[in-house]
Amino acid sequence: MTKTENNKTKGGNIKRWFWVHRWSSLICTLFLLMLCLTGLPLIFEQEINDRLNPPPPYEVLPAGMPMANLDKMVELSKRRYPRDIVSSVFIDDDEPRILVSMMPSMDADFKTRHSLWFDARTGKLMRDELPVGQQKQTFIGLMFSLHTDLFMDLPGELFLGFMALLFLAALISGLILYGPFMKKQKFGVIRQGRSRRLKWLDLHNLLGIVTLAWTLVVGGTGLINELATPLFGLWQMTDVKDMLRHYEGQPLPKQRELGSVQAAFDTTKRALPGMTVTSIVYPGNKFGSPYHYLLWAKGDQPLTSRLFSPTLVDARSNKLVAVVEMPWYLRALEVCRPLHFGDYGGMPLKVIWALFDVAAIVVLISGLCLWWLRRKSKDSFYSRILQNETADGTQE
Amino acid sequence: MARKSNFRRVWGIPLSISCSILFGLLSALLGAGVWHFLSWISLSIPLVIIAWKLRHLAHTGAKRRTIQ
Repeated sequence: MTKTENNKTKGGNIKRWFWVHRWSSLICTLFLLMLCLTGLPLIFEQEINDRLNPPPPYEVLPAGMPMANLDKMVELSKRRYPRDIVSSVFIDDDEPRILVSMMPSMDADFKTRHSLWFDARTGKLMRDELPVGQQKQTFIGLMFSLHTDLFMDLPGELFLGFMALLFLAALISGLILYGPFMKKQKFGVIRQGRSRRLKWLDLHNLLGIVTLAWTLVVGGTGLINELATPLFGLWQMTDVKDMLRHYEGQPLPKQRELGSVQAAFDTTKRALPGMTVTSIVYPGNKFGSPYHYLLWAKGDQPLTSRLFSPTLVDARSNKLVAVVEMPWYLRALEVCRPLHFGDYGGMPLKVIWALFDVAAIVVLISGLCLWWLRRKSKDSFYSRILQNETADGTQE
Repeated sequence: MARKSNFRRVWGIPLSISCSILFGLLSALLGAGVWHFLSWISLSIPLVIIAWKLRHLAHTGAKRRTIQ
């Protein structure tokens, strides 16, 4: 191949990648801007929630008090709401509190779910919450809905997942275009005076390339998070179904026939020493098993505290049935989560996350500006890039 | 030879920065204590580079305005 032919294909490739970069970016930019803006307060979710909606004051008690009996808390909840059934128990590992969640029936809409907060050490009722559907929309709740599903549940999640996929295409095509753009440029120099467009271009290139590794990781893990619902569904339809196969046809345990939830908790604690049980899903719950208590437990190391293991405890006899092995795709999902949230390295990491987020916003806006300015001078833009390539070819 | 050095000129800094970011993201995830500290440092490097380049920009912009 002669040099001019070589340059022609190079130029054609660049044109193609440029087309990918422009269209993938244009389609996803507005949604990405929204995701970056709503993500900003979500980084500080805990701090904002604690301030706007402070938890009730805890009694001051000596450290190391054992946990109060779960059966008593459940009993008290049932006495307050005799028509409802318990759907799950959540054991907070940050604060000494236990939430008992109830619903009119296991098939009821999740908006009817309501929770009772107990002090984990004394078993005293601290707060009786309204059903989810009657609670006032909180600021963080609004940000969360906009950030994850646009108030549309699974379709919204899949749509934003598709936007994340386009964003990844924009990042990779941008990376490929960075080389030809920077052939005649020193790293990070922002050309001034000559034209507004060059200034935006240099800013876009500098911020884009410097933050690329972060945006790739956060974009990629964001995409995986949006796939959480289908991935858990896949697991329930395959592995979980297999596990429950030999129970088929057995009568379903009714809530009043269930064995002690405290005993189920103790059974799991004994089977998994060194692990913390964080929630107990009641038999019949859509997210559990019809015949078992399902208990989620996590480890105590930086990495293992991200990995949850489910155990199944027979609902009537309280015998341990299985410590379930999670499939690799759900393990990957669990490890990916913190990499999206930035909540795993203290306050400094959260601030760093916010600064990267702001940089990403600047990259998005500068990209939009470039598209707007370039519409006028598209031809001169191509000839400049091709000129770069040709000049380079003759030098070699 | 010329080609190789050109590659290094264009990609050297971006690759180093990306390695620093990946190290920072993973060290806080897999370690505790001093690893968190190392994570903050290595993730701050790209932010400091951006701040340094942009401060330069704001500075020259202001100078030009005063001359005009």
